[in-house]
Amino acid sequence: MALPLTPIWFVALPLLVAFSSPLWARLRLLMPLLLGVPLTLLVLAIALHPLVRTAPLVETIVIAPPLGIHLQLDSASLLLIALIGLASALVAAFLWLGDTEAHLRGRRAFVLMLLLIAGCNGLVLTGDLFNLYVFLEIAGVSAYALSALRQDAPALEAGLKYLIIGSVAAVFFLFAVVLIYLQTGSLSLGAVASSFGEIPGPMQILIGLLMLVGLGIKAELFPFNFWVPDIYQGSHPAVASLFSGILVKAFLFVLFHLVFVLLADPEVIRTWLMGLGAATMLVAETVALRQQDLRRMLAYSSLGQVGLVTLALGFGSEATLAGGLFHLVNHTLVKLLLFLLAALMLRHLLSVRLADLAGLGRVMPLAAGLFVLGALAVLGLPPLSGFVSKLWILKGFAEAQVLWPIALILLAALIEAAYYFRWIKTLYEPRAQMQEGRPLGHWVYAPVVLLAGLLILLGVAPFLVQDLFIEGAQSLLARDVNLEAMLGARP
Amino acid sequence: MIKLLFFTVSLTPAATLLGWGEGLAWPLFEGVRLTLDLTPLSAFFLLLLAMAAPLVALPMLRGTADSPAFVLFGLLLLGMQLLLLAGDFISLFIGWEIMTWSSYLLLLRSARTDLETAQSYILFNLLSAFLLLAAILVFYRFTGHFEIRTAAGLTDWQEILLALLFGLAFLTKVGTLPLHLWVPRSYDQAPDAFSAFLSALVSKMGVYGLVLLPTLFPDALAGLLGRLLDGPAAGYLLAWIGVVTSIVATFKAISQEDMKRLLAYSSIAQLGYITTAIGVGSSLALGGALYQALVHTLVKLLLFISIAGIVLRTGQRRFNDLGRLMERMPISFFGVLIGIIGLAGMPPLPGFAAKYLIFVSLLDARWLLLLAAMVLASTAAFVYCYKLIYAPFLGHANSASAKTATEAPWQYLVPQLVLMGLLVGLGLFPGLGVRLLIDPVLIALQMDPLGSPSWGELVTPYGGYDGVVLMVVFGTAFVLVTGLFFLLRGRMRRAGSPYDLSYAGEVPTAETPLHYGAGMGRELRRIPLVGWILRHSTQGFYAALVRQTRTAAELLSGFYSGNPQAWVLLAVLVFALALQASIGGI
Repeated sequence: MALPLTPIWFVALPLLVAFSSPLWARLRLLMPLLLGVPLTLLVLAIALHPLVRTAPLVETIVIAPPLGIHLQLDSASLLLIALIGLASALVAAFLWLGDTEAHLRGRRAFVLMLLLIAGCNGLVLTGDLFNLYVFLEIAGVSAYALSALRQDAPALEAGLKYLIIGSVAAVFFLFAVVLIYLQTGSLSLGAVASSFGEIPGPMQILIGLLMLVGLGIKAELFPFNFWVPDIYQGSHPAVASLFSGILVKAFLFVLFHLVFVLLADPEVIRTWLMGLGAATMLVAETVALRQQDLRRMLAYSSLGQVGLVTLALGFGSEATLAGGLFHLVNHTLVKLLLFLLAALMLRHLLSVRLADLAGLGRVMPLAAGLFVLGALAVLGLPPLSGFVSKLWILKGFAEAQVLWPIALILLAALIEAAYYFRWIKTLYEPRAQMQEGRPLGHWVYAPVVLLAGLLILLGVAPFLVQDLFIEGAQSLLARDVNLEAMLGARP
Repeated sequence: MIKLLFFTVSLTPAATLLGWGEGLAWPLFEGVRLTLDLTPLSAFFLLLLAMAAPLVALPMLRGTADSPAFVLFGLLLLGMQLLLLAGDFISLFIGWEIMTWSSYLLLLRSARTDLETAQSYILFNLLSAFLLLAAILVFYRFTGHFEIRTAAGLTDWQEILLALLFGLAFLTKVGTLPLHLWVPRSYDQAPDAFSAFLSALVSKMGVYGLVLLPTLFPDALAGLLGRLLDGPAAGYLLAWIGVVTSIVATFKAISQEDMKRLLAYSSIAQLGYITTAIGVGSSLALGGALYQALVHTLVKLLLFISIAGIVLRTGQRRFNDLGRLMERMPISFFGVLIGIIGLAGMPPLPGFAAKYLIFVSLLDARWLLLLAAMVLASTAAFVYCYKLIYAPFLGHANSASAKTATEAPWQYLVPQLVLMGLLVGLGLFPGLGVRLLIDPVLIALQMDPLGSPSWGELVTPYGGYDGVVLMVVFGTAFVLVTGLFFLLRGRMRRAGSPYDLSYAGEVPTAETPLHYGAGMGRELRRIPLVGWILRHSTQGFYAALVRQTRTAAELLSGFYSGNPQAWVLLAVLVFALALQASIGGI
């Protein structure tokens, strides 16, 4: 436990800091810590990278056998951990520098956000189904509370709706876990995985479907994602950026982690996952065409990108996996950028409806310019990073000689372009009259500009980070190595 | 200061062209490597870019510095250079996309751009880009590499699929029928100086792509479907697409009431000729296509910049609101005059040489029906050319601003003068153009060079002409006629005395709104086929497509009701159905 560099810190540190929050509030250290904790985790993740490259790190903390906490850190989960650290640090910096609303800077928000980070990290790291459920609830509950944080009618409504649908998802997932325990007598992922094949076929399907629905709701897959726009619209955009940037990604990762670990042959579920991904992508992009509220539009666009990532990860070849992981990272960066910009616009103009944003380019030139950049990145236009990851995915499909996803992805991108460019055109509407809103300081833009810089850097020089994704993809696919590591570390 | 910097940036294509040394490479990610190199074909188009960029940049410098536009123009130039220098398809695509979005954002700088135009511009161009990407990926699937070089070992249907995808992508950019919807609107509403760039350069990138195709599949045109008459059967279709495009666009151009819209349609028509020539695919035809690309670039730059000057000084762009500008804007008048002579393809300017080469190549392929159709289009083009010089410059001035206009500022005049000089020079020495510009490209494409015995001569197997002689004859005639006119002018004016019989009816004074060009082209609607063409457009089809998509969006958004009960119900239902389906199936 006293080891300085172990995966447990990714969960423990945010929890510890969150629970000692009265102290930090007294010392007026809330905001520095909210920024500092994720940054520390990011640094830790980077420090662990050389270790993880050689072999996955597995850590087991025995509470009382057979109960224990299994954490497993491989290249793929390290990627997600680093992403979560980076994204939450950026959002924290935005909240700190941006002089945002008081309720987002208070103790409650502090605790909830750290809990969310801990939950997401736990989801990604855990090697145990029961702990997975626990972390799912931690992340879920803090998310419900975060979306209701503003405590006005729309926020409370969003929080309540989120609570309902999130609980349903948790129930589905819990059922699956219970069934697995009944069938295999074990909850450790390694043990379950090695005996999953012996469960009778129909039961396998039942468990699989329960998990798929449970995680599908959480990971925003069609047809389980109808709740998303309401929640994103009701929450503060900075909170929504966390949902879209971190939470969904963690659940997506869990879904695919389970698929690749539990199933000896992931091909049986490939069609299902790819179908779900394609449907999510196409439906969401089409519906987004009609949206009049920026937050809602971004929510649908987020769904569309999640669908794309699912399609790529579901195919499960090394190139699409690497591209999919890269796209996941890119999408987090882009959606952070866009949602944080939406937060700025909302603060400046008190509305983010399409009609109210006309002519924004003259009032907030920097925000409008960055919005254009973000839109180009999300559409996958060069020289921004979205292009590289999309190209990687498409190249993976072309290598595998499968052409239909290429056609669908390009079609979806065209539809996506239709609405993003409508928003861009509106931002630069020359005839609109626009009143001056509340002035914003210069520092507000620092995190957003940093994000934009990252998008450009990753777009121009993706070779700097490509190994991360390739290793991540390989570690997802290397089921035997993972199993060996997990089983070897069993108490 | 910013302006100076911007002008320097606009010279970068020239610097690239002159200073290009070794090929460059940039590793992008696993298995994708960008390579840049200068081939004779790309050098030809880069030369066009290098010429046009500073000439368009100059008018943009006028007035207060519009820094975002300058940055975007710089990006656009960067993208186009990348596109032209690309040694592999990924770089080509990156350049293509940078060009697409930066030109879109430049389009938004104009106060006149409306939502439909902006959307149609970006969607058609992205459609073209995504078709290109699809083609690239299919190419990769078949060959296993991204490099732009001859693809060997493809079966026939693979070649057809690739040619179809690439062809559609490039034809959308060129703006052939029925994919031209975005062209007239965006050229019309773009910032005035930028329209010149759109028409002269951005559309040429599609031509570059089309010319690139034969290098990918060297015998595709000839070997694919056999030969028809003396030309390749596969190109026959492409040639007809080009000719139909030019005929329809020419008649549309004649019936336009707006200067920039007319130029936009004429641009579509001219690119139609190029498409036809590429369809023919012989070395004569490709030479003609390249020559036409060169001439069209010069001419459209000249015309759009001259018109931009008129719009700047008068604020009017409709023919009926202008008139009698010849005395007020003499240099612009000569700009447009030279421009339309080049546009109509009349001797002695190089437009004639380009058209001559294309005609001869059609003759060579024995595609006489196409030749006849093309002669029809290019003859009808005289009418809109005439309208272009007549309506703004002659007749009565019909608006207050047209009566007080002064000559365009020097930023507009310098490019005009340079372009006029280039056109006349190229008209004098058509052989020089062939030797210096066209032949290296043809040799690189492994075709027979056209060759020419001297700078002044253009030679084909079906005869040629000497540009110097022609220019001297025309110049002499011009001087003679003008001299006679000025000599006799005094006497002619005296003939029109107010007591004359011709003034017996209403006397049109300078105050009477009167435009001899009004309604010109209206009668065209009574010609059977032409009338049909003018009455129909593809707009309805695309509008219906948009409507259908909206309806689909509305239907689908029904799912996303704000009702948690419905969400849960749907989730459970889907779960139950999926369970039933999969377990029942076992």
